[in-house]
Amino acid sequence: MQDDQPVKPANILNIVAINQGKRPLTPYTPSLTLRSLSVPQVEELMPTHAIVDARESADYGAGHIPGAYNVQLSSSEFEQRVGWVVPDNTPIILVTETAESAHEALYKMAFIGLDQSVAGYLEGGVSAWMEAGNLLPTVSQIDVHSLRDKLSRNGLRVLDVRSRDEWDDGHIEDAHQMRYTDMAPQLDVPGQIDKLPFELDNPIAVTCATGMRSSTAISMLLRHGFTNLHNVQGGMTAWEQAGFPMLDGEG
Amino acid sequence: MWLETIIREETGCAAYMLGCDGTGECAVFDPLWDIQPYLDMAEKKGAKIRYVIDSHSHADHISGARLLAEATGGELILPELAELTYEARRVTHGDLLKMGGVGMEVVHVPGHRPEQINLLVYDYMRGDEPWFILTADFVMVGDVARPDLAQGGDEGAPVLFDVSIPRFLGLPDHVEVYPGHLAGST
Repeated sequence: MQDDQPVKPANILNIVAINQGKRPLTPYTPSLTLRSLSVPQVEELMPTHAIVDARESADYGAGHIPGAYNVQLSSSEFEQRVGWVVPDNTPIILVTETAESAHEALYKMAFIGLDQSVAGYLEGGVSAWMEAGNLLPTVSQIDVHSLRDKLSRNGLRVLDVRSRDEWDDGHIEDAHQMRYTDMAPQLDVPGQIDKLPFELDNPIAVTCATGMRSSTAISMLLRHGFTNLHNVQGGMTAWEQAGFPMLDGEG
Repeated sequence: MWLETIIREETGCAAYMLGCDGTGECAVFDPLWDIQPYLDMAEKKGAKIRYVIDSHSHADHISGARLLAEATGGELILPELAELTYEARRVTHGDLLKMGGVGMEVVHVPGHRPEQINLLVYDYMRGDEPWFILTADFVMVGDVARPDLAQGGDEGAPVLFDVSIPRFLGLPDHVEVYPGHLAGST
């Protein structure tokens, strides 16, 4: 695999099939129809559907629906990231702050045909989920100062989910690198999450450039059974700005 | 003639519109699913969309070509080798599409996809030499598109190097190059 190249998501086959006319093309409209789903409906669909929580990483960390993938709508690559992270041909339920954001997510997904996988969005978002008395797991968010303290004291491990190019430009000593996109299965390539050199209960700080992709990675790691994860707020950008030590090249 | 680049930042995709001022016709090359920007541009230019052209069966985004052709009555044009289940006019290496004083010569550039075409564009008001080439998912900024992305690399790489790159390098040096992607994936 070429680690400096973006991975091939499995949904490219679907995109080609739509463009060849072998699968239906969604007619263009400025506002696609999006079904609103109640909490009981989402609960019923959860076993067979993927939940995409498109809110910011801090909001996802403050409380999310168990098993949700966190792919931030604010990312310039939102729809591609959904394609990389959510297993191919899985129906999707969107979780956003507002109905308007859910529509925006659907619009972006239509550019790569993923709109056809969207079953609807959770009306009322996580507030509705909480009011129904359901559990909202949280993810610890740590800043780079706290990360640095913990690294020297209590054996916290660091997982860096950026690309090899970004890693080579500078990373934390003894960190482990695996792109978040390599954790999930892609076209002709199985997910590599099993190959991480960590135990499920190891304390792991997950980092990227800003804290967005790391939160996406955490959502995948939680689904895999990891239990002690910390999202590095501000990521390696904040680490570097704080003047903390970095290794570069292959080191 | 005029040329406009219509970019979608999120996916780094560039579509092109070019038209003949004399006949008021224009062509759209590689439109995306949201066809509104092309309708708006045609309206702004006071132009009628005559041709809607896809360079290949894209693997990174949904093409808006069929939608745009249906919405405007423009002629839908795809490469001869594209595998399609719908009707479209097929073009092959050397074919010429004309709009008044504008000529678009089809250049077959297999590699990224076996069927891919580029358009070598002439403005006959300026002269007989080509002015620019729309390279779609072939020649990118500082590189060529991956031959292993939308098909197996063993299939794509030999024709990319043996056929397509020599065709590109054979063009006059002054020909301007407009790729189908900004920096990013493909």
